Amino acid sequence: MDPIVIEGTSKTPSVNFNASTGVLELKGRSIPENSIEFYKPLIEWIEKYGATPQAKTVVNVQLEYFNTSSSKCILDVIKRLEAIANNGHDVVINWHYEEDDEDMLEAGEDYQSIIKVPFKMIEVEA
Amino acid sequence: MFEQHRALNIEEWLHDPYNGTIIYAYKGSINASIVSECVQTLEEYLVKNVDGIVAKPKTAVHITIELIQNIFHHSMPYLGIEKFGAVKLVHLPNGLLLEFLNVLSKDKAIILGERIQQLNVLSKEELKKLHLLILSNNEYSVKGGGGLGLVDVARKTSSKLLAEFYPFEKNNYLYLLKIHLN
Repeated sequence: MDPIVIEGTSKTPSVNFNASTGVLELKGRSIPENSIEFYKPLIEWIEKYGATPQAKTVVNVQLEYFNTSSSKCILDVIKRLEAIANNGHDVVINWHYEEDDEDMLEAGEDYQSIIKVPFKMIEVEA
Repeated sequence: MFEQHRALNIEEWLHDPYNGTIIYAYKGSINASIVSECVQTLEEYLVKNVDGIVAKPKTAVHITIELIQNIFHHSMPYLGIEKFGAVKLVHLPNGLLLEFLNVLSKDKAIILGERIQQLNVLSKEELKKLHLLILSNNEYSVKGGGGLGLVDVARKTSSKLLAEFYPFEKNNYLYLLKIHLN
């Protein structure tokens, strides 16, 4: 399965989804005017990956900002990961947030309260 | 019913610094480039003026992104401009004032006015519950957010959302939303 590698822009995050390592990364800003258009191929990739996932899938999320339309799409991404976990595979989400960024920590905790996938909150230097 | 104001002189409003410094002021078509320009200007200003304009500079940027994109998605034509909107960001002696103006039909203005009144009386915990409810309800609006924007903004700021509605023509309103952060 081909990886997805997308460079980040001022409005969209960098993406590196690798099926052979089981490591999925999303970094930067997610504030596009049309979030659904950006996230649709990512969600489709995870659905396909979910058919034959690695024994352990590690998801690294390190977002600086995301708008509310992205927040719905990110939830959809995480729901697909939850489905992989529900099929008996190991999935962990490393949610990175800058030390003074309470909003981003809170956003991670919100997802954690909705989705039953292990979240690891990781504080990083600003 | 929401409180109505008589009339808004957009030019006067746009250039009034309220005893502060205007960081960014724009009126016209709100497109993706203007969104970027507005956000970038605010970020650069906050980086240059690190001596605590607001306690949470990232929250100010976040709210600005949300509300200018709100205009991008929902604005109506005005003054011959298809996606009309205006933004004014002011550095005040006691913080930051973020102001966003766009045009709404009367029915939308009524709904929005009531919604803001409701949000303003909710506690932090109630706002969190509402936010989680909307986030997880599986619904998307055409614009993608499913109505989360204002709840998110209300949750991120400790001050109330201040909305002013100015009627014009038959059934339209200028809608001015003000957020004060310190």
